[in-house]
Amino acid sequence: MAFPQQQRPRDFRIDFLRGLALLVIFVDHIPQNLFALVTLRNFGFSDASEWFIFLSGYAGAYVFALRRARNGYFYAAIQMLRRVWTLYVAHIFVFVLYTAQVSFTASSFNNPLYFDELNLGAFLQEPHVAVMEALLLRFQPPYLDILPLYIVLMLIAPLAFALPARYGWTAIAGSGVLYLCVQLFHWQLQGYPDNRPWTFNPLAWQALFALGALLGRAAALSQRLIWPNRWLTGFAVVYLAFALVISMSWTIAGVVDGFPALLDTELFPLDKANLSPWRFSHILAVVYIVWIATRPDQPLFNSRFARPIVLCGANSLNIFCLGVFLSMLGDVVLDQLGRGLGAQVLVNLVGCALMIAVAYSLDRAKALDRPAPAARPEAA
Amino acid sequence: MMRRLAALALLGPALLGTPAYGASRCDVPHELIEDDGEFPVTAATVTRRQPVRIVAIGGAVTAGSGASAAMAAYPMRLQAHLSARLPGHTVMVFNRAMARQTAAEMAARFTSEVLSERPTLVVWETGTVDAVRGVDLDAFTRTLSDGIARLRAGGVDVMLVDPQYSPRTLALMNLPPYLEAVHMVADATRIDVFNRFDVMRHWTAQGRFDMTLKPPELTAEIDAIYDCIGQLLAQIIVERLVSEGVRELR
Repeated sequence: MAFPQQQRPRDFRIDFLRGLALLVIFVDHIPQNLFALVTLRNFGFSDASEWFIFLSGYAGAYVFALRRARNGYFYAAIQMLRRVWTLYVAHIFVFVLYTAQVSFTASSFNNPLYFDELNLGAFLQEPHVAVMEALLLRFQPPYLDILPLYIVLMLIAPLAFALPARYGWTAIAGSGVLYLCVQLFHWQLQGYPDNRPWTFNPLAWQALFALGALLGRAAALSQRLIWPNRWLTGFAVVYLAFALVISMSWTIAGVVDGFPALLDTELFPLDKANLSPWRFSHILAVVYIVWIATRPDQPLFNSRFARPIVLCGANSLNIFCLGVFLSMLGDVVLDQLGRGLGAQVLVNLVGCALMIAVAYSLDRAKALDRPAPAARPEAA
Repeated sequence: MMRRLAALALLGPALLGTPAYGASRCDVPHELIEDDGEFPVTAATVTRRQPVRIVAIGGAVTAGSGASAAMAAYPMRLQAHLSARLPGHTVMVFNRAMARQTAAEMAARFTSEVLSERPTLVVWETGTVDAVRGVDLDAFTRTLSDGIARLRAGGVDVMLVDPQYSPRTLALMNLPPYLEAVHMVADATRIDVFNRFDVMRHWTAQGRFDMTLKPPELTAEIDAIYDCIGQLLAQIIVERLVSEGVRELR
């Protein structure tokens, strides 16, 4: 066996979870969406953003390790930087779509009642500055804020991966120290306008990406890092139950008047920008439970029912961009249709169906690109 | 994230469909204006038959943006409606609104421009500019609670007005967390919030006001919205005074 890595079956868990995160991001991004009451964030402290960054770290390091084993570090690093370039172009493309939508809304709907307070100035009065700041990733309109984080992390990753394997744990420790410094000293990056902090502080979120990368690299090298442990499992389950009760009380309190929002003043708002330790420990607990409860070749993740979600995850960048566009469009459609239950069901279903349809098409095209398996020479 | 966010406006139209509205364009389901804030200072003032002095502080909309005249802004409409509902009492509203100010910038004017009017009640409209500028959420929450505490220490009742609903502008700012913060602080400090977001969402869902018109028809429409807000605020204040036990209003 020359390349044992290549014969390992694809880990559909990763695709499935990433696909799920992308669909949830679409649903959560439609303003005033009824269905956003039943997504991940309502059942725990962490949400789709944590999943997205963790799995991106995992997938990034997994592919990097395989390429490095095959063609060396330089090749793996260049491939990763090519990926960063693709992400960057995608971000700028989505930004242009967003700009078009905002400019159109503002000009066709120029009502002093709505717009005097908003001060679109930064945007429409000095577009040359706004565009430059967008190119520098400092201008992050609502919902276009996770790609800048992803891009920065992927840009730094090849440097971190350059460390020899025996320093792996040192790198993780460094990443943890940086995370702690953010929590203690509030280190942050400044954005635009008004030098506002980044929506997702890379100095904090890098820790989650790094842990994902650690697991991804281990998986590529067929090492096992997560073992079932009665105490850890018990602790994780108790913590997840605690987070479930608290988060659900918050959600229900928003809908039912007088329902108590538990630990409201103590915990809320959970600091998402700096990945509050409550959120960080929650995603770690979820990952631990999922990893000890499932195997990569679990038939569930490769089943007919999981297939649509798996395909979304396998084409994550395209589906992410499509999702951002569709949630902007969904908002406009809901404004036209009124926000009755029927309209909300329709917009959510059509949006998810479109994302899945595009994922299927992309997968089909990829399959046709590949030479038929019989024609491929056997590894000698 | 969705906690407290316009729960009724979200579920109302979704589950109830869009029922026909009554005689007035301003009507909203009563749940939208129910709250449990306290108005002890105002109640005592009314009982003693002293003038009710209200200071409104807020942003562009409170200042009357897009209205035909300064007197058409909702604080001045509140003065008219509250005077009508409190016959024999003097009601004076002072409008200290200024466009595009954050909660912190407004709070900095409390001593010189708000408490200096010796008000019985302060109506504080805030949250939108903080959301547009992306002010740190913890800092925003602290500014609100500190501001409310300062006003109350000055012997004043306080009422908050949350950010307004405006179709298709939600993509411009990350409003929901700020909206939630306003309601969370109000709950924690036991003061009233005027659910402007929910109320305007309700009006929009029912097509009560046509915001696609061009001036001058648009101006009349905006005047009508401000009049409705003033009317609802007056209704809320009178209802709270009744529950505070002001006898003559029963």
